Amino acid sequence: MKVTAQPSADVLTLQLDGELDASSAILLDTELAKPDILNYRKVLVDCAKLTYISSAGLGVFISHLQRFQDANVKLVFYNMQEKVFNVFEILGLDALMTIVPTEAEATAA
Amino acid sequence: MLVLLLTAVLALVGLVQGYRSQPAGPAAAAAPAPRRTEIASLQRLTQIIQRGQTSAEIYRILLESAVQTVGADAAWLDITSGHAEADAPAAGALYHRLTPEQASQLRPYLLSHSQLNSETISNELPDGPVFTVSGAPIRSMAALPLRGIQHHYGTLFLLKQSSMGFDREDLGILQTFTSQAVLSIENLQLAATSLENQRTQEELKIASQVQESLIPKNLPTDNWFEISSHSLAAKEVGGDFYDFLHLPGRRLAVLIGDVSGKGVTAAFHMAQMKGIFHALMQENPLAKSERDKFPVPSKFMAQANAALTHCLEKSSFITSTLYIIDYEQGGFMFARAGHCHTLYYHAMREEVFYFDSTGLGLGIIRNDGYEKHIKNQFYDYSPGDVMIIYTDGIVEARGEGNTEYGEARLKAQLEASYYLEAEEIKEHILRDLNDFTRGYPIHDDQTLLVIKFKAAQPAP
Repeated sequence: MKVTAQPSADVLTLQLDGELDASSAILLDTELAKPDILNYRKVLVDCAKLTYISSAGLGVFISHLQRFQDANVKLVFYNMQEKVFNVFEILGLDALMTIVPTEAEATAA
Repeated sequence: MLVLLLTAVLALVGLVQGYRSQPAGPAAAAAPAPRRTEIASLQRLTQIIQRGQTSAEIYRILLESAVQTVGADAAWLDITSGHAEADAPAAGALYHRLTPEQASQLRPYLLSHSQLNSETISNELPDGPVFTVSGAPIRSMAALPLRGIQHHYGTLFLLKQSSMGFDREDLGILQTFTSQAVLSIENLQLAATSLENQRTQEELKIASQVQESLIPKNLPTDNWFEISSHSLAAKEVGGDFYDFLHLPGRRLAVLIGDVSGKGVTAAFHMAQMKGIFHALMQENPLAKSERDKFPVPSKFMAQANAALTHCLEKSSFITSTLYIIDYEQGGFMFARAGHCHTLYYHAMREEVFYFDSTGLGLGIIRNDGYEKHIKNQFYDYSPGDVMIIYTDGIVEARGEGNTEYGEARLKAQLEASYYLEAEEIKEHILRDLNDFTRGYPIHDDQTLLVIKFKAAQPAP
């Protein structure tokens, strides 16, 4: 699992590469827990290369959801593979999180 | 633990005896009769282990014993952070008759003349203010590394005012001391690691015992359905649970769920869910209508979510589905809280499908907003219908090429076996799952329940 952060003016793009499981979840949590992440208007999560997400991986996003909402930071997922989207959908997270197909839609969201 | 310490002690006793009876190293070879003080010091080091004390104390005894035995005028012990023991100084030094400042002046010179990995004697130190301790010049020095198999624990420096202060015999004795100290420290660490592993093992044992005790031992029986269950706990993950409860009026509540996380924490939350299930599924005597006597599944989930809000860690959640099957009405009602979709065989339409329903897992939204995210679904069943209830450990089981078993393959198995008895359907699915995962480790708990509805039988 690799997490690459690309900051721009007021948008932070996180690219996830590999399998997000209990061990790699710590890596992502470190990235999302940074205090200055709340200074961005939007955090885009590029899931193109995310091949698997475990419940520990989902737990990381869930644990920061409220904090992002309270700080008015929009969390947007895009380029999600169908298999990964199914995991979000089964848990009902698609109703709570913004998941869009393309980068263009994510930027516009 | 006790065995380990005992082994360590026996090893040390052996070492002492070996030192007494036969030559061990250059010092013993040069000294035909071992000196009393050396043996006394060595015995003191050995006793530290027997009393089960700390590595900090071993370092202190090493320094004292070394100084005493060779008659050093000053000495210090540099301790590097080559080990991870909480009670030891992380990186520090012990001083004997010299100040830390004096030691730090001497250290660069002595280190440049000694090799970090081997014992060094320097019996002709030059003149100069650096080589003066407590007003007297220092002429001789011995430096000994504390080496373990993998770690370097520090360096022992001994100083004498006389020139030619240390000989090979001294070095041999000191070597015995340092290797004895390293052995003791490594034994302590070994004991600590073993204790830690033992704790983890113990924890896992408790967790699996709890999990085992939560799984119903007897499946409900009645003449209007057949039920068959399978549960397999992965080594460390744990978190699947299911339970049944007979409700008045020939109704049956079936709960299945999966707690994220593992070990004792997961087992604890499973126990909580079971408690919540039994507490909420009590008849409410104040209910105005028959319908309100027991919470409908969506209401149950909302109440469970509220109950879990304060005790579930922020990154944990629970997926669950509650079914209330009503035999008299010939139907069932269920709410899916983020749990795997129910697989169903409809006998009259001869069709296998997954129920398509939305619903959020428990512990994700921790306020009143949850109720908007959970729905009840109603369904009338016919005799011969089959319901497959399972956890993600089944559909996410890995096989060749790291592929997942998947919903499609599970569905195909029901299509091929729906006409069998519940027990045989379960066996059919498990056989196929085992074929698929053969040779691959099980990463998550696997739970599978098969319910087959039967034609009405007259009540006995």
